[in-house]
Amino acid sequence: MAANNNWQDGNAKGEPGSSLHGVTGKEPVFQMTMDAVGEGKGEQEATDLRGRKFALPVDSEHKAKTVRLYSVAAPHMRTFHLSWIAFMICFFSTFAAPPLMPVIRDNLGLTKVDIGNAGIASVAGAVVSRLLMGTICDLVGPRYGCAILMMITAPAIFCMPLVSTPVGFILVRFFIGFCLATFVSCQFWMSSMFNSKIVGIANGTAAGWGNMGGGIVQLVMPLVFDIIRRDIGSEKFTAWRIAFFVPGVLQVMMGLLVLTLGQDLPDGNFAELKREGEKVNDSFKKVFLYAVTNYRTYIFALTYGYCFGVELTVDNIIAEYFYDRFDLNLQTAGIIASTFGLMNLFSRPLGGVLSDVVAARWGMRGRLWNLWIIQTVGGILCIVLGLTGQLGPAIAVMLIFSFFVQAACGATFGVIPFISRRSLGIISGATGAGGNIGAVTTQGIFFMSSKYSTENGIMLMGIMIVACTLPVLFVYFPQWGSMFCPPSKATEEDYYISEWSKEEQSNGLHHASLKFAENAKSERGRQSPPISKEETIGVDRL
Amino acid sequence: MAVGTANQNAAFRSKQGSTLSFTSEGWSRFRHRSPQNCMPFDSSRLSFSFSPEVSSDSLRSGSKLLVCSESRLDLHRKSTLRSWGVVCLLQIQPRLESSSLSAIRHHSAAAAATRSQALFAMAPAMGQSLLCGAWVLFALLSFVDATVLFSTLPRTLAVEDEIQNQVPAMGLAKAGDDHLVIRWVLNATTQEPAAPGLDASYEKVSLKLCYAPVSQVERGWRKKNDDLHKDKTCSKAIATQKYTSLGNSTVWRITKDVPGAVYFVRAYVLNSNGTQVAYGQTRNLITIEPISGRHASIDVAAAIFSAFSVGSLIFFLALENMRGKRSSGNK
Repeated sequence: MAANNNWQDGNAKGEPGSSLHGVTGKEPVFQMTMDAVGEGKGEQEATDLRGRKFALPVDSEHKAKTVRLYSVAAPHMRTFHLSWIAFMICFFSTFAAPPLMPVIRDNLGLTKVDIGNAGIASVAGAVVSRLLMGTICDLVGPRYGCAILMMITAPAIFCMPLVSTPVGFILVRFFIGFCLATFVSCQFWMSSMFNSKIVGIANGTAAGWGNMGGGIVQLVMPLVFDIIRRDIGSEKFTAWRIAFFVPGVLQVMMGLLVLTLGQDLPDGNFAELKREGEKVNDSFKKVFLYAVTNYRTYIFALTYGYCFGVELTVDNIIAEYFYDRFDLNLQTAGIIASTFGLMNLFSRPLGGVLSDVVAARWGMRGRLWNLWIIQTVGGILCIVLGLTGQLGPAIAVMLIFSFFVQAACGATFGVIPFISRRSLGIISGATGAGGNIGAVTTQGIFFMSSKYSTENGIMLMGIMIVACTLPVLFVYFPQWGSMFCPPSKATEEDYYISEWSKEEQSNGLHHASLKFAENAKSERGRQSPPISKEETIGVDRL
Repeated sequence: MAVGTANQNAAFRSKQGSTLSFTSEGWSRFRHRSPQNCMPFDSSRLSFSFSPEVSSDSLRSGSKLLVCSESRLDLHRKSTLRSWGVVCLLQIQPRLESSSLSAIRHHSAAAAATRSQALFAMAPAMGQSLLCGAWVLFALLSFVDATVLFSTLPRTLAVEDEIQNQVPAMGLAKAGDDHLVIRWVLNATTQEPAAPGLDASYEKVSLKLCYAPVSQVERGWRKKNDDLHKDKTCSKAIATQKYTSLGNSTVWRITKDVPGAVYFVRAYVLNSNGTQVAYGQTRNLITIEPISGRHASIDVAAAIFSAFSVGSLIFFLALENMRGKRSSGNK
């Protein structure tokens, strides 16, 4: 097919469709991207569906080559903003209960065990939903995936004003927690809209700003509660229920905005593109198999559980911790607790940027060292936080700790794209799920019963972070080495092609992996000579 | 023992009514002040008393030195605040002679005039340091109670409560609806007739609703602590009344923010400084049923919003499906 040749042929010289298509995300591999869609047929300059020029410079796949944060131009920047705000609002809803916990625990008669169970439930739901979301995005596109999830979960948020028993509370938090899977749709969407050179920064920024929702909510919910109580004059036990309408309404509004303003791909929506061209789907069984047989998947799921999982845990417990241990009032405890999440504004993106900067000089080994150092320092600071008994120092330690923990999340996703090309979607989903499992486990062990006081729980959590980051020492890439071992003679092509069987290779399905392998040579660090002129773009841009 | 301030000399007082003083000589020095240098401080906010006899008594009976280095924000939800920095408290726990207490207040008034002049003259020197200036602010904003241990309080009041209009007495009350009738009186049987001045320091009685032990299980935020500053058993204040030896009673409508739990009522007797000097509590327990906080209007609103959310999703999906079919039909 002529269309087939368009993107499979070519050797990264910038011909239409021959660029790094499908390098970073799990987006479907469209055979006819340029030709078949609307007025863009056969044109050399980049125009969108309706023939208008893109607002941002785009590559041959119409993915943006830069990120302009102040713009909301369709489709790229609009997608960026829609997707990070949607993710942020989901975080907001999931963690809307913890800042009001002192009031809720009195209303419902909760014990520490109940509160612990609810915290676990809030992050446990997302374990499954994150794994499923990758497949859903594949089938119907990230726009529908995100909007459907948000609008289906919104009724759960509206059920929160109706709970009157501990069991009801735990169940409602469980169902609300499903919406954390918007992380996957957010990352998927970014990967479809942004060129692989900047997708790391775009993803890291969107994820970081989304995680900020966990901080903003600690600030907003006590304020809303106070306004309702004072100005509307409700009783405490009614005011918190009314306050829950705020996250619910925000989520519905955002879901509608995503549906109406969003667009799956730079060229249009999935459904249209599906109709126009053939969609090549990979075999789910194979993709799954290569994900589970790669030991690095498990190591990174574990380590992500102890950076992102710790972040989720702290979002759940920190407001109550400051309220109880330092005897602050609800608003003050909320303000202090919110600073933890708000650090995400720059700490997660910086983690990713740091990973890229280190990789420019030392390649993948640098990325692994970077990740290990940042996460271990975060663990040590967590230990210090548990031991700090004065308010001022506790706040300071918490801020520094939040920076390191969130930077570790960003650094993890600097490594993930290189574990596998074929199974990237599932591995990302598994890592995200691992994050939530880490949150479930940590809360279950340390913050459930009265065996450990909260400050001891925090200290022990720090010890566990340090321990669970040690497996990074064992991650070995044959072509790049590990933290302590140098690389072997294997090449990137060997590594990435090995995911395809001989049959599949003879069918030419592995070409995208080949292209990715060429690009991944940048992970050798500066000492590797560039293979060809085209590939030097990668190193320079880092 | 000192925290220096520029323009004032405040005396910390222990719960037993004796004074701990700090002078204006420097915040970092810890010295026991002789009684003549103890400064009374006349302020409605900071009510201190001063007793030379008690101080010397205390030396004989032993004292406890506590160093607190805690600091709290002034957005504290309790009314007591502690000043920043290192403060050394000399906690004195004498067994007070009841007769000395009335003499205490007379002494303080007389000593105030002479000593204040002398010490205010030293103020300018202290005002120089910016650190001292900051500490003035905090010291002015704060007053420090020496810790009172609950186990040291004598139980001299008899307190009874009952749920108004509830016959037979079931011990079950509804928040927001029922009223509690609380009666307290000085317990005549425990007090020896030879100690008529026992209640001389009793100024006020503060009635509180306290969690029974069964409601404190697995709930660290209601934990009992012997240190009354840290004790969270009695968090709900009912009323404060003036103390009379004949006792008094009060009718209290159970407010709607009372959580559902098992309670008893405790009456703390406060002296003129506001520190607890004695207590009494009821022997029976009441169970209070809380309000649910739910209203029909909230339920209806939640249903409407949920329906809107799911409905609009289905609407948009159907719309796009139809549009898609139409455009592919046109092709």
